Amino acid sequence: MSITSDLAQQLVTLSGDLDQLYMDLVSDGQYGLANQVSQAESDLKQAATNLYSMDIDDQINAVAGAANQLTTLTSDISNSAAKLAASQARIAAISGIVSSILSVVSDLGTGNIAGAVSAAGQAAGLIGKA
Amino acid sequence: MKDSSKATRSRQILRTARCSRAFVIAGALLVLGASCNQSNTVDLTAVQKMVAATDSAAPTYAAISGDFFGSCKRARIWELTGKWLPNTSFTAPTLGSLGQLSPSEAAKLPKPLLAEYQKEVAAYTKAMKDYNAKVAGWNALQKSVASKTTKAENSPQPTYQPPTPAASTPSSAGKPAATTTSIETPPPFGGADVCAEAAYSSQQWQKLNVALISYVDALGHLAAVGSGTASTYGFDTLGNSLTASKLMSASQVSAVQSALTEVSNNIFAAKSREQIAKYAPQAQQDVGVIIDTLERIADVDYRGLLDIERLDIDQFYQDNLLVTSPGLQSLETLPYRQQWVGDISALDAKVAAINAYRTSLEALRTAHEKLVKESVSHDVDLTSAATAFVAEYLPSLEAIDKAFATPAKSPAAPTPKPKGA
Repeated sequence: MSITSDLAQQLVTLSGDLDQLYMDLVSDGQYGLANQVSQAESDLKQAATNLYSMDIDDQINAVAGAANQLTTLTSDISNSAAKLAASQARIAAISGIVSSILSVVSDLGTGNIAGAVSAAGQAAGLIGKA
Repeated sequence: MKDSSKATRSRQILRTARCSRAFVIAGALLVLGASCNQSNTVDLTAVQKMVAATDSAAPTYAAISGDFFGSCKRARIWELTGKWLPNTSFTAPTLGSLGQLSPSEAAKLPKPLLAEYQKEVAAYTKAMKDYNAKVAGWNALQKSVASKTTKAENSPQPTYQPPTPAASTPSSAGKPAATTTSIETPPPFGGADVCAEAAYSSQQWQKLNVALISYVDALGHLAAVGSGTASTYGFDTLGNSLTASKLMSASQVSAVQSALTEVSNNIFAAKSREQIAKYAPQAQQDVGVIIDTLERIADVDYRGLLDIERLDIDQFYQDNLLVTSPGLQSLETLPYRQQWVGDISALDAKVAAINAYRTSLEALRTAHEKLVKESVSHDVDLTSAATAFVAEYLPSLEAIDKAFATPAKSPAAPTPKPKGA
């Protein structure tokens, strides 16, 4: 436990004690004083809350280097995955070209010149994209 | 006729030869694929299994880190509304029958009764002065509480950006993981919003959660690269063309297509394994440090804030029951006491969620350590490790979700009956 969070815990304990005082003052009908004690108690809790928050900020700042390194590494991993996915896309493009060439051959074999021309155009387009 | 028969036989022989080549090629590809598969150590299926489990963690972790701010806000409202002591506890003083006479009527009274009248009026005047002071004090207190409660209720809720879920298909494997953390300088304390600092810390905490989850998520994207289908590589279109060209039968095309897909997957899986084996050890230390910090934040700071909230809930009920009890029969306080128990139970569930959060982080740490070990050695059984991770991780997330499933109740002050009612 850090000094900050330890202090926060002590403030919480103190505010509990002040609450008892608040109740005693209310019982005695000293509402003005009760109001002041209530305000002090509220301030203590607010301070404790802020100290806990401050402790979180301190903890996170202390590991900022590790967090940023992990972020960079995450980005590198994502880039690697993207490169592999791009390679897969290139294989898909080549498959498309081979497929179109096969169509050309097939159409030529059956005398479908129009189909062969269309398939050849498609293949040329795919080669351009690949 | 003979020529035609010879030609048919030649075509059959040629087709058989082509088919044999196709099967030889397919067989060779499968062997190649199998050899690719054996040359790496990281079990990608196990990694995907782990990532599938952590995918659901982002909103769950956001719930617990967001509740740091939520607890601050609730505690504030509990505290402030707890001071709403009822005005009905004050009873305006009343005059006796003598005191209700006008001064001119009182002047006609016999001396002993006149003295009684004056004594009664003096007591009434003093009682009224005290009463007015009490009412003024309460009005000031309530006004102050009302303005603070409004401020607390108007506090802005932090918003979170959960990481992109890991893609199940390689086509989207290249998507970048969610933007992760950048540590910011905290804003200065003070200001009108009492929970502004807590809101900021909640966001920072969640950013650190996201940094960790995004890393695991990115590993998942990488592992998914080696699990493509025929369409990923365009082998489905190629197969259709082969079938249409009648170079192969449909079943032969299907066999070649499967072989090509498997080989391609094995090649990409091998690359994917290489990359995981390269990056996971590099991340190991940072993952450990971040998990340590996240656990400490939950265990010390968030737990501390829940302690403040518990104090405020207890004070709310203690204060109100103490003030209202004289005017309430014991049985009439029962609903408030039950509500008190219910509110404390809801808080206890959040405390239990801290333990579940820690358990989930520890499971993640262990699984990552095994992943790193497997990336350099064949000795670790990552499949069993992933199964154990999922078995521990998912119930932890469920426990956290359960604690935050019901929106926190706004404290409502019991409505006490007037004294003597």
